[in-house]
Amino acid sequence: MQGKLKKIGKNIIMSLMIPVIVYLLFFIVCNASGHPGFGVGADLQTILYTSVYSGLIALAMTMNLTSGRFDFSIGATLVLAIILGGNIAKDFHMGALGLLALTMVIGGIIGLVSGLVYVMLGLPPMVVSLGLAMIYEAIGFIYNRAKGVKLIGKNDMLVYSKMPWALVVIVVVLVVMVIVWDYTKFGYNRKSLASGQKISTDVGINEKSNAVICYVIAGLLLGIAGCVYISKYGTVTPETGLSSSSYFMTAFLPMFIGGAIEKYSSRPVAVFIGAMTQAFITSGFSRLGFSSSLMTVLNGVIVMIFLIYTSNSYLLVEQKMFREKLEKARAAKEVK
Amino acid sequence: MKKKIAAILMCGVMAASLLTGCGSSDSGSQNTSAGETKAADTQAEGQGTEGTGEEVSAVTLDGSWPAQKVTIGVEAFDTTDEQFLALQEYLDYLTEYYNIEFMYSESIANAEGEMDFIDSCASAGCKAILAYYNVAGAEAIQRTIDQGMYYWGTEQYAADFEDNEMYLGCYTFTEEGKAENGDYLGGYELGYSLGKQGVQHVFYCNGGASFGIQMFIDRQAGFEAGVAAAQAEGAEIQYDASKDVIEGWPGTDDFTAAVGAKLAEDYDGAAVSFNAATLFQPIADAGKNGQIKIAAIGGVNDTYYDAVQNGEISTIVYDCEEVVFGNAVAQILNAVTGHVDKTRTADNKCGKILTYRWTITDTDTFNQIYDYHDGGNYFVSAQDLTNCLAEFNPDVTFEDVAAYYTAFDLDTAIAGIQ
Repeated sequence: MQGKLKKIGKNIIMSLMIPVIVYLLFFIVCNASGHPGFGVGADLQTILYTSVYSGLIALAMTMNLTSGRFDFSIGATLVLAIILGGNIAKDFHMGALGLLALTMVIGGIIGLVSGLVYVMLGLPPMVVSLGLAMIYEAIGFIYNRAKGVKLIGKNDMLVYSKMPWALVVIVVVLVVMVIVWDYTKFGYNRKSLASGQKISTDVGINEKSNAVICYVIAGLLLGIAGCVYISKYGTVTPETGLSSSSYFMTAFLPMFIGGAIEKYSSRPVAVFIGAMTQAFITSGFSRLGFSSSLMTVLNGVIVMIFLIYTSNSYLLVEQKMFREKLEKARAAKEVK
Repeated sequence: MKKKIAAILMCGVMAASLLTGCGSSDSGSQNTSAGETKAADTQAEGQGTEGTGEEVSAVTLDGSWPAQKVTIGVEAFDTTDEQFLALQEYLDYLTEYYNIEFMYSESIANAEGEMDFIDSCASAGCKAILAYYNVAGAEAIQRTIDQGMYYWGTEQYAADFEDNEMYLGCYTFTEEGKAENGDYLGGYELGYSLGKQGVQHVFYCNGGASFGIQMFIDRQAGFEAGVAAAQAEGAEIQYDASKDVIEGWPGTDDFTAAVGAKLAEDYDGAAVSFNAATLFQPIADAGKNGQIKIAAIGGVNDTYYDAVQNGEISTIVYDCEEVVFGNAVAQILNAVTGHVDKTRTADNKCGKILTYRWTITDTDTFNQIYDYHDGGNYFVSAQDLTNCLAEFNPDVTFEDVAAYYTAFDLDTAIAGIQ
């Protein structure tokens, strides 16, 4: 029992260590350099929004990327879901919950289409998702005569970017995602397929239905992300020429941080912690008055560091293992 | 085999979707079918003859002139941009009265994309390029000319091509003898207006200025000069370029964080060098509705309508599409119908048409322009355009055409409505 508690305590500490260190670092640096206000009051609201929005996109990307499927249509799905869902919800005066439900459903349907197209064509996911991204962008462009969706001023609908709704949304999403990811047959099958597709299919796991479900869940998450985004800005314009890809550029750092700390918690929680860390970094740099281009460079460096770490972390484990073996061998020799 | 067929189908779909937004205006809902006759809009006939100094009889435009259909390529940097959509609406409106069609580019991201579009236009039989956007610089103009098409637009390179008859000139916001370009002047209006409106502390969203995009650099320089000018006239507006600037565009975490940080401070003014609609909701969320005056380079359209009525936007620097960009159609039609001399100045140089940006600072003015356009009217109607066309008005000169468009400053336009 004590060992279990110790393990849980260690997992919590290890999971929260990165965001806590980042938060404290920026808090101290900002205050020491005469830039107070980091991580409190309005800045905390911004951090919450950024964490939730980037976290949802990162979770959607995680659904497929961890299984080796890079979905290029993530941004286009988000934009199309919110343009269709937002306009319909506005026209039928559906309110905040109606907006969320409708956008999720549309996101889910788009995800279903993506999944079905992928499994039916059997082409590389990158190729399929590139084509689908263009098609989704084109539909979003044609719909509503290229005007996208504008809900500016409809404060009764735009509640998902701030407290308490942003928090409610992300907590519910994380609870559901942890259950789906770690405690369902789908989740086990997904993990199994991700670690060895041939063996998994040989023992009877249906990889096609699993992939389609992944796409549907990603679509649902992107629908929610669309609601969070429009709640912040009140408007979304259609994207063309694959420019929707800019929407998922913020998802990489949370994913890599999530990958680094997932062994201490569930992957969805780890990804959200990654999104929080990224939000602290962005907000801290902004508070310090760093230029946008410098922030882009620094973000790139941080992503690179995590990539290097996650790609080589097995070396540390190997070294530890070799050390232990060596000690055991020496101990055995001494006994002899 | 199934995979091969699927791959071919997928390639086809991808290629088709790439062409979304391109295509001629013939597919537009406002267009007439072949042979359909439309009565010309004669509302502004009197106004139309004023500028040219010629009396032109009412002409019934039935879409049969010019005898051979004229296709014009239109370059855009963002096909979802409000101003571009408004221009597109105007150009499509003209296709109902003239035998012309427009081939719109997709959003042009780089010089290569622009060159490809120019080549596509040549292949499609376009007679001219209306450069609403130019990223490839002089090379784009040269390529257009090499392909046998006329080119209109891009003031920056006008001097290089002024002797070439295939280059039809451009619009300009710069009055003779002055050096400031249109972007500088637009930015200037933002800063100056906010200063004169009693704003105490302003932040500026500089778009792509920090990324080296010239138009945004000019706008920021103009904004800072405008603030300085207002201060010189006694305004108490405060602006510090090292602290009061937000870089980039909405949609990034950096921008969100920067806006959040600014809205938590004591600013009572915001100047935006792009679509300001993205600030409305963050301001409302920060509980500062009505406390922050916004000045923006924008349009008279649905996006800004509510914000103007609510007093959230105090200044809009507006380029009236049919005035600023519409003169391209007059120049192009004259050139392609064998009257290229009518597009040249008296000393046989390319023509630059001085147009004015309209700085709208009150709700009434905004509403009058909005309602006028909303009622299907244009400050330069299809009928008015005939006054600038040599086929309809043989005595017209480039100077007449330029004078006609230059006459449309904000006061004249509002007087015309009234």
